[in-house]
Amino acid sequence: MELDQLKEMWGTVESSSGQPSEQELQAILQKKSKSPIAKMKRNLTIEMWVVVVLYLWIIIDYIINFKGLILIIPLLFFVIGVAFMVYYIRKRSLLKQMECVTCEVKSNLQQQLRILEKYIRIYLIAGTALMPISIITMSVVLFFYSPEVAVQRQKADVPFAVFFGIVTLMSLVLTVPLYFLNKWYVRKLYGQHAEKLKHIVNEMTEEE
Amino acid sequence: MTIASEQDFLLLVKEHQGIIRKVCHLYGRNDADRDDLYQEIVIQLWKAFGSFRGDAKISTWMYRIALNTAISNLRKQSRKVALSFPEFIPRDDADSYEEKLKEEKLQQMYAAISRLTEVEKAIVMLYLEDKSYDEMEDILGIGNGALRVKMNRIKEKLRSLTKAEAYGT
Repeated sequence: MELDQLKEMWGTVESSSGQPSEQELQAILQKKSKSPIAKMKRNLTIEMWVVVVLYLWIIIDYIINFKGLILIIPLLFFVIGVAFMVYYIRKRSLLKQMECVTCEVKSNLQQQLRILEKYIRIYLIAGTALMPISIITMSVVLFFYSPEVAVQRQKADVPFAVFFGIVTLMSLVLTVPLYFLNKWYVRKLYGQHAEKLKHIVNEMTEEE
Repeated sequence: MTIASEQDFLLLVKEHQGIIRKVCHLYGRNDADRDDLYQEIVIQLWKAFGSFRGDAKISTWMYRIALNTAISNLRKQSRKVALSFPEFIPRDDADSYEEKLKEEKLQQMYAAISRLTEVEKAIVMLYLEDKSYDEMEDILGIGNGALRVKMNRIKEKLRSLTKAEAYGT
């Protein structure tokens, strides 16, 4: 059978499917979207709330247990928490830009692919960089402000440059496997989706 | 959104039911899949309804949303999912030998279409809807010339796929 013959029958698809009732349609409008981008937005919100609760809990717990001593540590946690928030807001704004369902199919998919690649890059870079930055900052703060460390420092007479060098080296050593772990995880999360998008966009542009 | 606009929206969906149904028929692999896609398209239409300013034809607007949703949803293709195709000819009417043969051939064609890529399915659908190449360009964003080349290639592909379907290969 030729495609043109199917044209005649095509019009009957609508009538054979039946009309949904108004109640059914209204019920659909109350449901949440199951699109990949909507799921990503929901996961990001959950992740963000987990970080907010966790950091607030650490900060409050520290202030209560240490009765306000070495305030620089909860302050540092607060700064890291704010950095996390900036990171989530950036990711959220990328997710918002990712979809343009009313645009032409090709431009929508190209936009999705471009922003998804950016999203993956941010995920990978920020996720990897956070580890050495946190370790180095925490170590420097402990070096100067922790009374226990100060006692050890006086005994061992470790210059700051040596301490800083060792900490930096250690954090970099830990960062390498973390980078590959992150890369694997990001690919597992979005890799297949990005590949499919790329394939479709290539197909749409191949004869142009 | 207001109740009035919700009523307008429901009316619009009912009026243009065919567009959504046909996209679901082409992109859904079975009834459950088609129902999920139908819901997702209605949700996306509803989300975009407030910003519809009438710059484009309502059908073009709906095709764009329906196809964007169907293509970019990219649901995981499970090999275990059984494919099922809608019947074109109601069973009661399909009694005669000619009708049964016709239905069988249509099912072969449907099965062949289901093996096309997501983009090819979109082009086939708009072709079956009798859309001009200009309208197809407006919906898909693929140039007129490229669409013609693709359409010829798709027809060839479908011919060989339906042959393969007929011989069960």
